[in-house]
Amino acid sequence: MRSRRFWALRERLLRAGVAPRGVRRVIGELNDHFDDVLAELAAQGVNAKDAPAQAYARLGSEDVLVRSILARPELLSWAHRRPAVAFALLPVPAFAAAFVASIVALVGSAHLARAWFAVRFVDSAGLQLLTRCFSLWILWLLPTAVSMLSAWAAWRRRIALLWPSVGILIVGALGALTNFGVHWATATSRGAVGAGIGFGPANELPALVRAASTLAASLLVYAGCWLANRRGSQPPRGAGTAVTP
Amino acid sequence: MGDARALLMSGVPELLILRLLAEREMYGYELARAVRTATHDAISLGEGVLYPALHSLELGGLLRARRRRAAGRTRVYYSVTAQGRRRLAFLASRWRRIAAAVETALAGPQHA
Repeated sequence: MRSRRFWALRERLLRAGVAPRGVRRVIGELNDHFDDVLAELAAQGVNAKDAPAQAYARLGSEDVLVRSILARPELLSWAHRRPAVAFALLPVPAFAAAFVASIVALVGSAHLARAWFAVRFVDSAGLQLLTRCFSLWILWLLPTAVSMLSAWAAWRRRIALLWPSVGILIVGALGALTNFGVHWATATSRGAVGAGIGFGPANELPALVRAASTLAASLLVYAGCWLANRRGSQPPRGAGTAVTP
Repeated sequence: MGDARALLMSGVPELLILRLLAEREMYGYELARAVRTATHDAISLGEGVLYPALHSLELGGLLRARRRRAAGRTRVYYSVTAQGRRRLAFLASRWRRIAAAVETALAGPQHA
């Protein structure tokens, strides 16, 4: 009941561009305030049926609340003001950084294992399996994870799908064109790690499949969040609408 | 009429909030009650609009917020920072100047 009390206001604030954290805080404090007013009214002998309407009236109308927040630009999220930067551009360096960080982590771990535990990395079935798992992560899961995160962040801020879709497409395409390989050391050669980006006749189909899977997974996240929110958005009778005094 | 009232009230919530919180830290509901008591119900803000004002003042460094557990509930208590006290002194002196000027005007023309 309490969680749905200001549902409509919460949605309006998110759509207006208030940062999700700010919305959560305002709604939390309004809920506390509402409970305090109900307790005060009960102590004054107001009957429990009339008290909620009076409490809403004390808080002020939803329109006034929204206007008073929108009059303070410092309470609005920068991502809502610049959705193109936040959701079309930012995911690209985020993906690149995560890609590089993953490889640095792999190479760093191998160096540490060799230096501290004297592990010798010689080509074996176990290392081949490790390579396949890491390739799965860096070529398939990482671009999908970055795109899904971007889609989720966009939905949390109720950003329309246009700019997030552009970002997802770019990350999906970049992710599909990346390649990665490890050559473990053998008796006669040293090991090497290679990664890059490129497009050729040999990788057309896998690249398209990778890009399509990233796009589909991200759009599913957005649509799933939207549907779940829609299902939970039916407020109980009389709740969620502040009464104009 | 609404616009005229809004113009007249411009800056008043900020002044009242800083003045009342300068005495002691309070949470939102306590502060709303304090406003009503201090102004003898002459100023009736929608109590909900206190929160955007509080958050904005906190972002501006004029207020400090901290969570505190009291009577079995966790509440956000607000208090005034040093910067907030300086702002309060500025707003209060400006308000007194304006009030005195309006009072003088209402008293009628003074002929020498």
